[in-house]
Formats: sequence, structure tokens, C-alpha cells
Amino acid sequence: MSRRLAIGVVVFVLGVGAALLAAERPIEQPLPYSHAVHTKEAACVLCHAGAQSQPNAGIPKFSVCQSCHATPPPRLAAPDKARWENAAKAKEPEAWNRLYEVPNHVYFSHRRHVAVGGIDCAACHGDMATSTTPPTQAAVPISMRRCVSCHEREQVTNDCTACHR
Amino acid sequence: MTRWGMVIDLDRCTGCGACVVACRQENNVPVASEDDYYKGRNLDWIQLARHVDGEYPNTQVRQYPFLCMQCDDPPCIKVCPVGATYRDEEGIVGQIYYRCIGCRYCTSACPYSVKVFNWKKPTWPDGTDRRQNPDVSIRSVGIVEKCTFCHHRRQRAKEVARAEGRELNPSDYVPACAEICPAGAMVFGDLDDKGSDVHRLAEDPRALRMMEELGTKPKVIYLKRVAEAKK
Amino acid sequence: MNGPIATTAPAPIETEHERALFHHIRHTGRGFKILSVVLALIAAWGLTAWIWQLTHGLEVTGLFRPVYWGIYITNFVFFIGVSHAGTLISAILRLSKAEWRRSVTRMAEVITVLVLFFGAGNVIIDMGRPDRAFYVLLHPNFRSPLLWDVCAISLYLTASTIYLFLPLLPDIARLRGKIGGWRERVYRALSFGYDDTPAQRGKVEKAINILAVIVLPIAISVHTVVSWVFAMTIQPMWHSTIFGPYFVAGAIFSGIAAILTFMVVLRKVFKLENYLRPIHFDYLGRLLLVMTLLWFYFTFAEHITTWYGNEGHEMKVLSAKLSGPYSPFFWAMVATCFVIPMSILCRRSTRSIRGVLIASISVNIGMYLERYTIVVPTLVNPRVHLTQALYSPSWVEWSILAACISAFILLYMGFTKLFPIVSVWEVEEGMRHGPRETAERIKTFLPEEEEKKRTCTTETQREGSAETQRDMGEEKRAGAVAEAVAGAGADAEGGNK
Repeated sequence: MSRRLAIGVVVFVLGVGAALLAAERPIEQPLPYSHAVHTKEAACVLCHAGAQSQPNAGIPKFSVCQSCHATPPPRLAAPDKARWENAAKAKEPEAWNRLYEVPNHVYFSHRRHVAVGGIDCAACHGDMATSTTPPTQAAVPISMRRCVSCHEREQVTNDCTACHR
Repeated sequence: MTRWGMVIDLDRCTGCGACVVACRQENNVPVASEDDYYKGRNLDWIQLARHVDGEYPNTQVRQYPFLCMQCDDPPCIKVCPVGATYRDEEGIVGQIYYRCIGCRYCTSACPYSVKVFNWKKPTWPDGTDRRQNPDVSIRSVGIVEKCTFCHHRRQRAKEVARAEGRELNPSDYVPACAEICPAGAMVFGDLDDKGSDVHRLAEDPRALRMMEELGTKPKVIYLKRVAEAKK
Repeated sequence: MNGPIATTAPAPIETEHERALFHHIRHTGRGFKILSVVLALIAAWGLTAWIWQLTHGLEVTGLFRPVYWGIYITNFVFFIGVSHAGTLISAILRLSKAEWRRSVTRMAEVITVLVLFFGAGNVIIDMGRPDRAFYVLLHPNFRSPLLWDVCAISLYLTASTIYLFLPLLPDIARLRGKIGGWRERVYRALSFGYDDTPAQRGKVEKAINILAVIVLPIAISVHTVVSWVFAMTIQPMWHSTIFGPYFVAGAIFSGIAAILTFMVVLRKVFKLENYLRPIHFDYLGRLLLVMTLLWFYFTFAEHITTWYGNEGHEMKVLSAKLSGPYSPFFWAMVATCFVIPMSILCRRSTRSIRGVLIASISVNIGMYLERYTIVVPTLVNPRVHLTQALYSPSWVEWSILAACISAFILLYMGFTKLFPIVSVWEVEEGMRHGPRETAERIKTFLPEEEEKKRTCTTETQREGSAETQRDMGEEKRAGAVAEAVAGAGADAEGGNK
């Protein structure tokens, strides 16, 4: 009896462990950032420059921040301010961490979806106008099923080689 | 309905091999070492196959640019246990690298032996990885790959045409090999388009389809004057 | 009834046959240990070779374009062929009520189940991406003969495992409480509460009979589908309509050869002379002779049509086999599959145990060569010649082949440490009922005596209903039976000594 219990406990612990490992862990971002504040004054493409014209939308480099903010923004707390200053001095400053990863076997073009297809950014990235902290997780899970269901809804090609390169 | 095809005029082909090089560049095909080449481990999607026409002494050596025939009824797609290879709506036989399990049934079933297998992880010596085409994936070890008529170019051409709000022009989409051919021996286009060059040439009396008797309905068509060899 | 029920006494009395047939479970000789270590080392070496291949890709094999398939696919076809040893032969013998089957069936069925793993395993070894093997379940393409194979082989493996297990149940019940140690736990787990009561025994026997019928078409379908992997393509000398039956005949052929080899070895090593009598080898030798002739007929038919048709691409393959680089393999195959077994088996004097052993080993080698000369020459001579080269397997491929054979023998040896290799209950059953049943069956073949004709014409015409006839005969023909059996069945009802 006790042996069965022990086996049960081990299986349970392993299962929970595996589930925890498999679960998406939030990705830390180096600095605080509010999409809500920025999108009031600027369009998405100001920082994500490739969204309409390139396959990759692009994650802004530190220099992009600096092009508006010559000095550390006053809202930053003291330790973050120090990081900003370090970044300003560094040759290769810390960058925003990537949340969306397109696998090697998929060809995804932002231009095709935004400029040609006219899809709203929020369809895949969520409503950033209300986000006040830097996102630490992809707003929607990106899976082939999601791609296919949208392609079906929009009646665009579902041919394998249209996306698989 | 669009049905992409290619006509290769062997009477024009000089056997320069530009198509082979262009294909490697376009499709991230790793260049095989000399040793691998002699072992038959090269991955070229298009090769020059030397063939002697006629009987001695009236012989003529020809170089056949040999690529996937993009059959309308391909023997390879039927046998794939996981459906990793298929014929799309426009007649291109595609290979989904991420699905392929590497059983090599399709390569064994192909009567033209034009599908290739990644025997090892591709290597990119001396910074050649910087010339990789971002539109084409880097294939992993252990899977089958093949000529796709550069279908990423078709995607791009369609995208541009759609952005500009117009129909696809015949000149918008040409595979790398046909684009580079200095002798103009490779003509690419829609076989079902009555006005296209490729349609006209496919009806040419010189036209010849490889192993037509197998019923694979190849869409790569060769043009060859046969009278000379008979003399 | 009289069968020993193992649950009662702590140290149950063993019958004579149990004592003799459990001996090899209890005692492990030095040779056995040494051989196990050697085989385990070879298997480990093969595993290393496979890991080497997994890390380096199939570059480490001798394969190239266009020879995409080599030894692994040959192994696959060969091992699946050998698997027809057990299930098919034992099912045929069970259904035809061949009394001499009783000591042969178990050792044949074990071959089937174990060798299937290596057959299927070789396809996975052959894959470029074995990590994606489960895609055949996730994204099946039912047009592919390879998927038919997946279905047929998994069904066959399931069916033949049950077919091995069911006749094992009464023996497991006997083993309980007699061997002890860790094996006792295995027996308890595997018996699933089976105590070998007459009611349970009846059900098991019925299930075995049903399964024997089911297993036959499955076994035939398996190798037919294996042949279709080749025949469904349009490649020269693969695209042949007779490949299905040709492969099945070859499979039964190599299967019988495999059982015979095992029988000779087991008889010698486990001292089973009393159970595997010369008659067993004589009968199976005759069967092997029939299959030799059938094999020759198919091979001849297959090659003569190609030769006569004289079609260019086919002829290239054929001449590679007959006179080209593959001729040593081809003619060695003809010698080992036909000339040697034929000349040994056709005469009674040479159809001795030793003769049968030589013939069966020769057939095993020959059938491997046959599979090789089917798979490789076609690929070496494709319709389009882009590369001129000959395939020669690399050390990795040879190591994996050696490891497969070693691991198979090792697993077989492991089986003999757990279960009797001769079915104890079936032998005892045979001792008890065999002579009488056979005698009664023979009587049903013969013209009937006048007075009985009127009463039981309908029953005797029914085929395969020996049960009915036994019940009926017990009352009506007691006298005649006793005469026919003449003492052989004297202990028919007194098996429990």
C-alpha cells in the first residue's frame, strides 16, 4: 500500500514538474516601458520600422529610444536610471528581449500581413494602447492552427509552401 | 488555372552551368566537397547530366540541365507516409521540410532520381553563410529536399502585384536558373496560358518530355533537334 | 480435473514434463553466460554505432544518391520475413491439427514476436529524422504503402504477441510457486488471475483457435504490404505484380529455416531430444523442401519475364544481377536458397538433423541475399544515371546488422530464462488426448461401418469438429478406439502422476 502511495507521489511530482517546465515563463525586460504612453504620440512603425515594408517588424534598438530621449526619462526609478546611463555609454547596449519567435521553417512577412493584407497589429500582438508595462509574454500564442484558422476566415491561400519555406 | 512549367532548349544550352550555381545561391544549397561530390552526396537541385545521343560515329554529347520535372502526376507524393510532399494548386511539387521524416521513400520512387537527401548537417565554410537567402530555409540534417521552381519568388511576386493592385505579370516570377541562363535556353511560365512563350514552345515539334511513357506528365519540357544525330 | 493447480500447495508436485522443460529456466550453464555477455557486447557496439549515426547523420552509411536504401531496408524485409516463422507456421499446424506441432509452436512464436521489433526498428534506424517517427500517426497519408506497413505490422505485432501469450498462460499457471524469486512476481503479474481451471482452460483453447484463424490473413497481409512498398513504385524490377506472393513465399521459406535452426540449437543446448524428435526435423525439412521449390518457381518466373520482355531499364537491373556487380550475391543466393537445400532435403538419408541444420542456415543466408538483391540493384541502376557508383555498406551498417541479430538472440535467450521453450501443457495434452483424437479423426476419413452410418452421417461430414466427434465417440466407439490406440492412450485419463 505504502509503495503504491510512494509511486503515486513520485508520478505526481514529476508531472507537476514537467508542467511547470513546459509552462511559459515570463521574459524579463531590461527597463520599464509604457506602450500606452508612447502610442498616444507615435505610430507603431516609428519604432517597429519594418512592420509595413519589411518581413521583420523589428525590435527597436536603444538608439531608437535615444533619438527622442536625450536624457533618461524623469519617470525612471534610480536603479533603472543607472542602467540607462550604462546603456548610453556601452558600445552594444542591452536590448529588449524578443517575445515572438518565427521558426526557421516558416516564412512570415509583416509587409504581407500589414501592408497588403491590412491586418491590425492587435490581431497578433494584442491591444498595446492599454499596456503600461513592457510586455513579458506574447499576447497571443502563435501556432500553425492560429495561422490556418485566420487564413481560412480571410479566404487567403492555405497552401503549404505559402508559409513554409 | 495557372500551371507553371519550364521549357529547356537543348539546342541553345551551352552547358555553362550558370543555372547550377544560381540555384545553389538562391536556394541555400550547400556546396559539396569534392569528396562528397564523387560519393554522390551533393545536394544540387539542378545538375548537368551528360548524355550521348546517337550511335558511334554519329554521336553528339549534350548537357541536360536536369531538375525536378514538377510532374503533374508525381510518383513521389503518393508514397510519402506523412504527406510531406505534395502538388500545389499551381502544379508545383513542394516539399515541407518540417514534416519530412527522412524515410527516403519518395527519393526511391522518383524515376528521375532528382530528389536529394541531407546526409549531414549543412556546413557553410568561410563565411558563406552570409550569402544565405532569408526567403529560403536552411534545411536540417536527415530530410529530403528538392527543386521548388523557387516558389518563394512566386510568393514575393504575388505580394508585390497585390500591393500594387494589379494582376501577376509573366515576367514577375521566374526561377533563378531561368533568370540567369545566358543563352536564353530556359523559358519559364504558365503552360495553360495560350499566349505564353512556354506554351508555344511546349507545342514545338522538337518538344520532348522525359520518360513520358511512365505517365508522370512532367512539366519540364526539353527541346531537341533529332535529325542531326540520325545523319 | 487432472491438470496441476498451482495455487494450492506451497511446494507442488511436478510432472515429469514440467521437470524436464523447466530445467532450462532453473539452470544456467557457463556457455549460456559467456554467450550472453558476448551478444550483449555486440549489441552495445551496435547501439554505439547507431548513436554515432544519430549524431552525424546518414553520412556515416554507405548510401548515396540514388541508392537511398541499403542494408537497413534489407534488414527490415528480412526480419519481417523471418517473423512468419512463428505465427504463420504454428497457426497452420494448429489449425490442421498436426499432432507433431506441440513441441514446436512455442519456439516459433517467440521468434515472430521478437524479430518483429527488429524489423520495424530497422525502418526507424533508416530514417533521417527518427525523432519525427510519430508523424506517421499525427499526419498519416493513407495513399502511402509505407503507412499500410505501419498499420499491418502494428496489427501483426499485437496479434502475434497475444498469440504467443495465450498458449503461455497455462504454463505460467504451472510455473507459479515452482521457480520462486523475482520470477514469481513476473508470473503472478502475467497470469492475470489465471489458475488453469478447466473452465479457464476451455476459454483459452477456444481463444487460441480463433486467433489462429485471424493471425493467418494478417501474417500474409504483412509481407504482401512489405512487398508493395517496392511493387507500388514504377522502378525497374520492383514494379512487379508477383511481388506480393513472391515475398510471402520467401517469408515462409525463411521463417521455416529460422525455426529449424533454432530447433537444432535448442535441442542440443537444452537437451530436448525427447521433445524434438527426428520426425519433427523430417517433417519441417519436407516443408522446407516444398518452399525451396516454390521459391525457385517464383524466382524463375520473376526473372524470366524480365529477360524475355527485354525492356531497357529492366534489363539493366537484371544484367547487374545476373552478370554484373551483383552477380556474386545473386548466384550465391541461388546456391544457398535452392541448390544446397534442394540437394540435402530431397533425399531421406541426408534429411537428418545435421542435414536440415545445414540446409536451414543456408536458406537463412540465401534469403538475406535475396532481399539484398531485390533492394539494391534497382536503386543502383535507376532510369537516369547521375552518379555511377556501387553501394557498399559502411561499418555502421554492418555493426547495426550484427547488433540486431545479437540482440534478437539475446532476447530469445532471456525468454528461455522465464518460460519453458516447449509448451508443457500442450505436450501433456498431446500425451493425454492426442492418440485418441487422432485415431478418431482417422476413423472419420475411412468408410463407415454399416450400422453406424444411419445414426451419424451428418456429424461426421462436418469438418474440423473433432470435439463433437470425441464426445460422441466416447460412448459409441469405445471398443474400436481402445483397439486402435492399443495402449498408447492407456494413461489418457491419468496424467497426474
